[in-house]
Amino acid sequence: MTDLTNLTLSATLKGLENKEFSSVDVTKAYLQKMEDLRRLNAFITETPEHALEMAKASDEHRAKGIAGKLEGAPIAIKDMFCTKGIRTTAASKILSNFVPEFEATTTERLWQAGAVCLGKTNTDEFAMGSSTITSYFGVTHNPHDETRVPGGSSGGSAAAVAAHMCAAATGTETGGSIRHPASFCQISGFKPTYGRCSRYGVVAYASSLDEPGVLARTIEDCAHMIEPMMGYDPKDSTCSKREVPDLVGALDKNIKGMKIGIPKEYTELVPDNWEPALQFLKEQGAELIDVDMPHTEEAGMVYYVISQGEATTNLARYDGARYGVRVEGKTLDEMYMNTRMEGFGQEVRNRMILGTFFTSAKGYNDYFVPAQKMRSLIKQDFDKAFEKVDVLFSPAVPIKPFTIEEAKHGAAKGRFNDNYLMPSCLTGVPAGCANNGLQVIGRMWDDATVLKVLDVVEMMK
Amino acid sequence: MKIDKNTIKEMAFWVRVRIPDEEAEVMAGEFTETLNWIGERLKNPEINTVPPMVSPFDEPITLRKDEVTDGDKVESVLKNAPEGATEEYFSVPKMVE
Repeated sequence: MTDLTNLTLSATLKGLENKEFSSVDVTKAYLQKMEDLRRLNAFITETPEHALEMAKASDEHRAKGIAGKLEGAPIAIKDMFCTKGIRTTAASKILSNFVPEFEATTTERLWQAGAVCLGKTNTDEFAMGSSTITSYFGVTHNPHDETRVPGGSSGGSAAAVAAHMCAAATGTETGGSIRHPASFCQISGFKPTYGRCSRYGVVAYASSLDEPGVLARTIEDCAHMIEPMMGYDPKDSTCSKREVPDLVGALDKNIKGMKIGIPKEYTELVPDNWEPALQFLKEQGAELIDVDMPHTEEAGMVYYVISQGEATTNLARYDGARYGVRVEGKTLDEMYMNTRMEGFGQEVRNRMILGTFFTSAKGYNDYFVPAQKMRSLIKQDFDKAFEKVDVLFSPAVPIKPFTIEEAKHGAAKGRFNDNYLMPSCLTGVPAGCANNGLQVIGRMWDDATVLKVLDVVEMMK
Repeated sequence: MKIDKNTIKEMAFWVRVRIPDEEAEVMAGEFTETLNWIGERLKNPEINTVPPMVSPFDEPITLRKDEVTDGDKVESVLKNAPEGATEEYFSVPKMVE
């Protein structure tokens, strides 16, 4: 029998439907792979027994003819999504004993669609980073070269997908945390329009930026995975009531006549496949149009101010009083202090300290609000570009994964690490990375077109 | 804008973490440099032509009705409470002598 872990999510769903194998078969294959590759440290918590129970239930569903869209497909969940009864840590010591009593809306929908949960994947602590090296549970290794980082913060999910330890995985983006590791691990990643997926039950980092999304081996797989996660949720006031589009159906491999914008600010450094990709898109009948995005350079600075300000506010909740790890103290303040010193890693503590400045009266008026205005100008760049073109096309991360040692010495601070990713996080537009490292960004709510173009980009040899 | 060691230590106190003097000193220097750089970028007069962008969500936010939708979950709420929680209460160090 062929190795079932070599099948894409789409092929797995087809095989399950045609009864070529059962969900228990494919789940067992993935659990074995997870065990064999434990040295990559892609998972924080593995849930093999739970997975097999879910797989059995899925096989029963299929036997009764009531299969959901992902019925029987084994997937992994970034450890930023609260999962009822399964430990959820955000890769932090402070939540290392936290077992949620509730389920995130997006994962709830994945289980309703029939997906099987293999476990919870590693991330930078509270998703703050782009190397997956700040996790309390240790570094995740890039499966293509284990001396290198998988990118981040959804690095555990990306490594698990790339090493065939799951058919697909969830991720979250605040400043590029899905597309970055997707690019570093040579897989596909997609973050939908802000407001498509509920943030309920996702551990909050910076609320005006946080977005749930997916990582998989192909864009078609991403479409299968993200569609059930989308849709209105009364538990998140920034979740849209718009109808969920048919994303898998949108992948018709036809981009003839489509206007694709090439922002010159995104092409300062390009990978080897860039020129051939432009040629390929032209051959497919697309029209390439140069566009200007003059405020691109400001995105990193705006992100720095806004994300840290919002993070300080969100992380105030971890006080050791109600849940999570507590370190005792003689007074209440001392207990807070001891708990937060012991519970948070240094990167998180530093971001909270600096974020305090941006939420103080002076920092707010002189920096936070002006940064929000700059955010509006970045948004205007997108609005103007989308008057002329249907989507934007660029490299995702034009550099190669750095080594774990380089990452520990600040390699992720380089400007080409995430400056092609951040503007689309600040503005909430849908964006994805193809498994060859090239990115497509679309108009607000036009998730379907982004996936359709990315799917064509993946046809390139 | 100059941030000194004491301001860093004060900000650390507001978020209830400690930072040793040496680290605070380094952080103050780096943060001052960063703030000055950001300050320069934010001098761009264009920013006075636009409102601040608070959220990317471009639809009207509708609030739910202010009514109870669940409750009576004391056991569930206390499930993750650190040691010392009693039947109905979280416990914290004594605050009043």
